[in-house]
Amino acid sequence: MSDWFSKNFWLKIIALVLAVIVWSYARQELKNTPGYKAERAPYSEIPTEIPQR
Amino acid sequence: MFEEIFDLSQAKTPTELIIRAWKPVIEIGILWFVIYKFLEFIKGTRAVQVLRGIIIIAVIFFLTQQLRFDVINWIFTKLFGLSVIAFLIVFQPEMRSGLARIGREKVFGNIITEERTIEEIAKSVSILARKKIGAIIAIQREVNLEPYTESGVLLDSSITSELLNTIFMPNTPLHDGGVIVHGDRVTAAGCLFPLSQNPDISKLLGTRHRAAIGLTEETDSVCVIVSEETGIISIANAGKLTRDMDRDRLINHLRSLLYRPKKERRSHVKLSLNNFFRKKT
Repeated sequence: MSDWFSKNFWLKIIALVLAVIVWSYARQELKNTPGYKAERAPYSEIPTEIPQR
Repeated sequence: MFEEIFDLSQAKTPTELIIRAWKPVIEIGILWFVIYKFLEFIKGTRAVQVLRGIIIIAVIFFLTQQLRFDVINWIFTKLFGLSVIAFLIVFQPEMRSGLARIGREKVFGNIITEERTIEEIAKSVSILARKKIGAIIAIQREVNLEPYTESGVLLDSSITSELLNTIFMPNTPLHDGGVIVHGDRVTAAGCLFPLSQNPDISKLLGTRHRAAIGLTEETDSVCVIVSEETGIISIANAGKLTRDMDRDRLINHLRSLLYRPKKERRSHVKLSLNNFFRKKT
């Protein structure tokens, strides 16, 4: 297993940093999307109609 | 940032707490794997230089947005559409081989090649090398080489060194193309293989070697090549050439690439996990 960690170590770290950045950005974008409710909200709380601009 | 990612404060039950903590971890894990595989794939290729260029352009684009250089920003926005098309054209060979590589990474599947095939190929190429007769033999693994068999003559014969030697005998109709071997059968001869576009390949190598590299770049096959000029035996695998093989080294190398005895065959799950982590056992 240590072999697997040491191989391309910096590439794995860069990929992890990028993954966190992309995930945070996507989550932020999702939060700003009209009609999007937090992922674990009960279905009854999710609006049935998407607000129109 | 930690709190922002996990958002644990809103958890009301222990189950919800676990879901809130683990869902982002799994999502980031999936993203990490995809990004890591992409970076690993482009590492050492000319795509890295392009990626650097894209990053520089992205930084300029970001700065123009922040500094409200509207005209420059508008030009960049318009150029972006064009650059996507340009990217597709410039990297068409890399994308093709990349997609083929993704497609051939089967979750379930075994590489079983008869030991006899390796022996017959080794016997044949050592004779051809001694006589300095050029040859190229592609051994099919998981990716079907049928598109290439269509460019040659279908044989579907049991593999023997005599048959291979006869095919590559100069001044015969099939000698100039490649032979495709699948299992213990010679499926086709006189086949045309795609030439590698890699600019780093030595100019000393001829079309035969270039074709072997090209085929192994696009498929997971293994190619054995005999140089017509020098009689040197080489093996091409995954776009890389290993030269100066003697018979024993050739057999060992082919065994390591192709043959897996029954008792050493691992379970599908273990094999898949090992492929996943590229861990050598």
